[in-house]
Amino acid sequence: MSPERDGTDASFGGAELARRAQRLLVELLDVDDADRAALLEVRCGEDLRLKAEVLSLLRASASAGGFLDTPAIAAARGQFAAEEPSLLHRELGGFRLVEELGRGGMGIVYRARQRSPERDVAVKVTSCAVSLSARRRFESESRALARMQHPSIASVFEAGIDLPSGLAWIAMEFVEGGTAFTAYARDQSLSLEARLRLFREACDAVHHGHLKGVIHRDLKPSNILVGRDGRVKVIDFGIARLLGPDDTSATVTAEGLPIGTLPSMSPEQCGNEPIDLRTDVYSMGVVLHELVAGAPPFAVQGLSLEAALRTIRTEPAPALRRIVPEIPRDLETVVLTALEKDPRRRYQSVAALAEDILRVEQHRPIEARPARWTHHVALFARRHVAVVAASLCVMLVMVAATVVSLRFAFEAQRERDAAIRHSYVATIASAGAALDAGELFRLRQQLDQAPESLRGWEWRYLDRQSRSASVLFEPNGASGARVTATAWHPTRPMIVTGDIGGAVRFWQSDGTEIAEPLALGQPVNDLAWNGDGTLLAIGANHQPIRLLPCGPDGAPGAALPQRFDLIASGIASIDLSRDGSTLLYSGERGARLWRVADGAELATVPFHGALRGATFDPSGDRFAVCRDQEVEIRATADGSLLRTISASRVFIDAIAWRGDGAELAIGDDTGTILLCDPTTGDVRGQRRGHSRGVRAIAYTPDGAALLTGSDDQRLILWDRATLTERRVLPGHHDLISALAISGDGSAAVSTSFDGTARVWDLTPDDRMSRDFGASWRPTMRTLAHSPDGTRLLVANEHGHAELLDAESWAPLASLDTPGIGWWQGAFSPDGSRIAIGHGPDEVLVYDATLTTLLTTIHQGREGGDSRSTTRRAAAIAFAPDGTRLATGGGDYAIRVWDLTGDEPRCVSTVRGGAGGHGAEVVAILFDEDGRTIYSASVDRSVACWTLNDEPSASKRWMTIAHEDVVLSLALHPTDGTLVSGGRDQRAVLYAAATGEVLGVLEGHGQAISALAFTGDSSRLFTASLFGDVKVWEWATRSELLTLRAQALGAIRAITLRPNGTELVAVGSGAVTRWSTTRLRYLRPDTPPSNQPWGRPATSSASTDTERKSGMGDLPTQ
Amino acid sequence: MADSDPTDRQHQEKRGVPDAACAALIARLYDDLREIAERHLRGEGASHTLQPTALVHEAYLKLLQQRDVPWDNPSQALGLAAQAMRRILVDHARGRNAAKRGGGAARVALENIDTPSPRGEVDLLALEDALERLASIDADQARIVELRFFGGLTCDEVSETLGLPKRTVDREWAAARAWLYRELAADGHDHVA
Repeated sequence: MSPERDGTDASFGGAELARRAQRLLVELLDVDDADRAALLEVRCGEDLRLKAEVLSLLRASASAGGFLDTPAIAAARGQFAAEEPSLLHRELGGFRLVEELGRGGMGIVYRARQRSPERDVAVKVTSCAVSLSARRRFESESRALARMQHPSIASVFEAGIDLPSGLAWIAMEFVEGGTAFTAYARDQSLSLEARLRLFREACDAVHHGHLKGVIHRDLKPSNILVGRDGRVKVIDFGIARLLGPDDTSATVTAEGLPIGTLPSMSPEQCGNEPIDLRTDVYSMGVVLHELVAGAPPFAVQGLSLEAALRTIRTEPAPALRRIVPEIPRDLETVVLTALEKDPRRRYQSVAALAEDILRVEQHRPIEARPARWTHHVALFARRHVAVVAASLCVMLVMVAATVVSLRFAFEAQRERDAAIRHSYVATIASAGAALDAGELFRLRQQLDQAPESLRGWEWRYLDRQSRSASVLFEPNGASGARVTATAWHPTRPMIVTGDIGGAVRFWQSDGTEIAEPLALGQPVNDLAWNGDGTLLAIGANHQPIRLLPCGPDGAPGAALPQRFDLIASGIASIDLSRDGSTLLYSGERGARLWRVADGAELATVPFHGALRGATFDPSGDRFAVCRDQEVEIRATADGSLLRTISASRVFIDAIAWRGDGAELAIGDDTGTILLCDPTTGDVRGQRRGHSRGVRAIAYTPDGAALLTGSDDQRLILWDRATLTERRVLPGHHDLISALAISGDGSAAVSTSFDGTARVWDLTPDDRMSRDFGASWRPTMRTLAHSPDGTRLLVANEHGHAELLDAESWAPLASLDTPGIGWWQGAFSPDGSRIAIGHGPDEVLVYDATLTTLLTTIHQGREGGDSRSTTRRAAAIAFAPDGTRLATGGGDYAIRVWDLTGDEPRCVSTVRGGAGGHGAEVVAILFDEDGRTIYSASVDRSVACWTLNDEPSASKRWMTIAHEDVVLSLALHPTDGTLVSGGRDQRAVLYAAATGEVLGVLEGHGQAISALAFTGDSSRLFTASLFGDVKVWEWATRSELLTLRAQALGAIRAITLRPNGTELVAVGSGAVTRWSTTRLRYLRPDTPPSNQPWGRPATSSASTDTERKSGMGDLPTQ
Repeated sequence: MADSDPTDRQHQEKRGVPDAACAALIARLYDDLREIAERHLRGEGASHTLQPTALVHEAYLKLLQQRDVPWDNPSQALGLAAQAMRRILVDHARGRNAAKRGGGAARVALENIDTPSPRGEVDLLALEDALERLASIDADQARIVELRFFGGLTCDEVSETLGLPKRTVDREWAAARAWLYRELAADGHDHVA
């Protein structure tokens, strides 16, 4: 090191010298070379140190030309920009780009040719590769966009990411010859009425998007086109958010100048405040203003960006009638209301705005402002000119006006309610979209906004989803210390975390800190407990490995004296054997093993660089080491190599043993998970789920699931048997550094560079979906809760039936008649009996435990029609008093059985064929009166029958309103409405008394296979053969939320648990539930510390079983 | 010397927003700003053209949109934006280097975005260390480097932001650069092309 550098010593003298040198250097740089030497002599005099220092700086200055001249960011950017590929004539998805249509802030728009169906489409391509976080959002949101189906919205056909270039693209409907909204109105010299009509058409489209949870965010005249046919098309719906990294940068160019969007931007967009559908209300207000007045309300062109943003945020909108005096006063009010700065004072939905426009057109009083009665009279008079003219009695008008006024008051109240409901529906839709996108924060925001009085089942469900993870702790201070390590106490709900700042903290899993943190001052890289939690090992860089004895409550004691001869600047991992006897280190220069008792070194695994992790197998006899691309299995006794697993071609960072030691899970740098046999080294299965390297991996204690955490910021819970994603746990916004699963497998903790540790409840996910295995794959169509909600009956068409505990889904009893189907099941109203359709013609009645057969009903004995070969009971219903049972079968007939005698007796029959159903009966319901039954059939009909004391039931009505097979039936608990769902994708509403069709619910887009009402009758669930369930608000018949379970395949039946806490659905081979109950771990009223769980120290019988049964062929990808 | 430099006091006042408030503001916007920085690092800035100042301008817009900060003068925000970007870029480099797993040496080699200069290796972490030392010697020079190198501002913009004559900025920049160059060269980071 050169002597001059003394000048930078921290000592006062050194700092002072450096200061003087630096000032002198500035002075010298300002003079010519020739004068420099002289000046240096003068200034330094006898101070040789100063002189030497300055000379060294002058030398550096001479060679420093260009140093740091290129800004930090520019070079990297330059490299990337140079690689920007040309896309013209390339093919993205099935679309060949044939012509560039234009360039915008977000990318390039091409005209593209689709091969099948053959048509022109518009393809928008981002100008740069999308970031990882943007990519995830892109995927989920493009699905949301594709769900919008409206004649006035340019459809999104397909979206994807071009893998070679990383560019995202969206294929949209190509609107040919479209003219910008305002330009069209001007060119065609449209009348005000025509303009307003077009505007309402656009509002209708925007509102549709809102109901699907999509906010446009960039509404402006150039995004509302009028086609050659004179119809409105809203384009780029939701695209701004999809392609733009964030609101501001999507609309503001690098030069800081606004492009066309700025005039239509809302105050909240200018202020970077949360955006919701009212943002679109504002932008529609701007469009309306421009449509009527010919210019947007604020002239921001030519202003500096700052001034423009300020104007939009603070300047009141100008009164429209000053610009266009001839327009109605009410229209001015409508525009000003839409343009309110405060979203709460605007129309709460675009629909409400459109309704007011309609009122303006019809000269009715608008909502936007409390109307005075004289105003009403004026409007009334205008609407009823003839009446007023003919009337000689002014009083009459006055009286009429009063009546009108009152009626309007009621109407206004009703419409206000409707507006609030509209906004609730839209809020839930956005909350659902936020959940799909994994944006828990946005989800929470939306939920808090929803008016309490309207909250229902869907709100509680979403609320629970928003709490699926709790943030254990937030960044400490402004530095946002990255959390780098964690471990879960083996027997207690207790967690320890370590961060980059050197803090080790002890937590109860509900987030309470239970001990003083340790401050180590160096990054804590790993933490490990022994098998019973009595000993904790802490590995921090540059420090000896610490061992802390812990009390039975998990509280840490004082560190044991230092025993291990190691100070590493880079620790990759530390681990304790389960019995606590051995300590394992990996990192810089290899791996080392010590005996804990006396610190004696047992073995060393030397390595030229840094090993990336090492962990003991559950027995402690072996350990696995990540050695770059390979994993080595070594013996604990002497470190000898037992097996090398070369399964990956890239670095491996994460390894975990299954609880029985018979399997090793490996996560590599490409984001792939590999499951290996540690004895043979064979790969049993692999799958790539993460887009970047896997940093941490763990098995659940039962070995049935795996949790992985990655640099891609996601945690994925995998089903071990199928290696499919059970669930992605969203929430972290930086890479995941470590994770751990609780000893009972019900929860996990993850730590991230985002400065947080999060606790996740795995219980509902573990059991959220239960796969019954291959033998159940054939259709399961039986699903019913016992009336007390404690048991659940499931059965399939291939002879298996099970009674499950409704909470844990543990099997309570099962029935097996291989090859002979179970068709439909029902609990008696008092819960004491279970009736279940069986085989070709039987209905079996069991006791409540499904163990004792009480009665067998042979369908074939009475009535029916012999045309059908099968008489199977595909529909079963108990009468409300439980004395009778109705069965509907494959022979088109309905029979009612009296169960009170020794033998079941058929007391009433509806024969198939003429007068009855013309095909299989698929659903039967009893009315409360016990004398009326409703039935639905494959022949598309729904019917109502009265049971008299006669052998034949009499028909009350039969209605055919479906265009295809009816699949399901439900009766509203209170208002006398019957609902049927059909393969024609519609739900039809009937007056139960008359069969009159009251309405149709459309929008499912899939065959509706099952229906259910909530107990409070405020919500209807419709389930489809596509695997999704929609939640509808009954009062307004509005669709609220879609629950998806594609893994389930076609849903055949749904049931709402009687206490309303969860909806259960059954499909091909699996049962899924959507729950509204709060999580055990995060609920303060049940402190988990009171329920310590035990876990067998060695592999238990259950894991052995799992190994045998779960070791089927694993998918390989 | 620098302590008593009247120009220094002058722009302490000019900056208006107290340091603690700046730090809090940056902390609050850290995620947003980092997102911007990472996007630019990947070459995904809002602009298609290569425009070094785009990054800091975007950050600047974000800062300006903070309602509760009384900006006396928008150039404060520009300075703050540069400061934020410095922290983010350095954190980025540090995260890759010092985080976890044995220093993550291999990881750094895989993701080579810590070497932004076309002249090759400017070690951001070494530069950051040196810049901190420079700040204790001459705060103004350190700030100029921050604005120019991390913020991508031109000398004119720097002069406007700091309220210093352009000539002074040029001179101080040259001196600061010489000092840093020497420090980094001495540290063994030979960056000479």
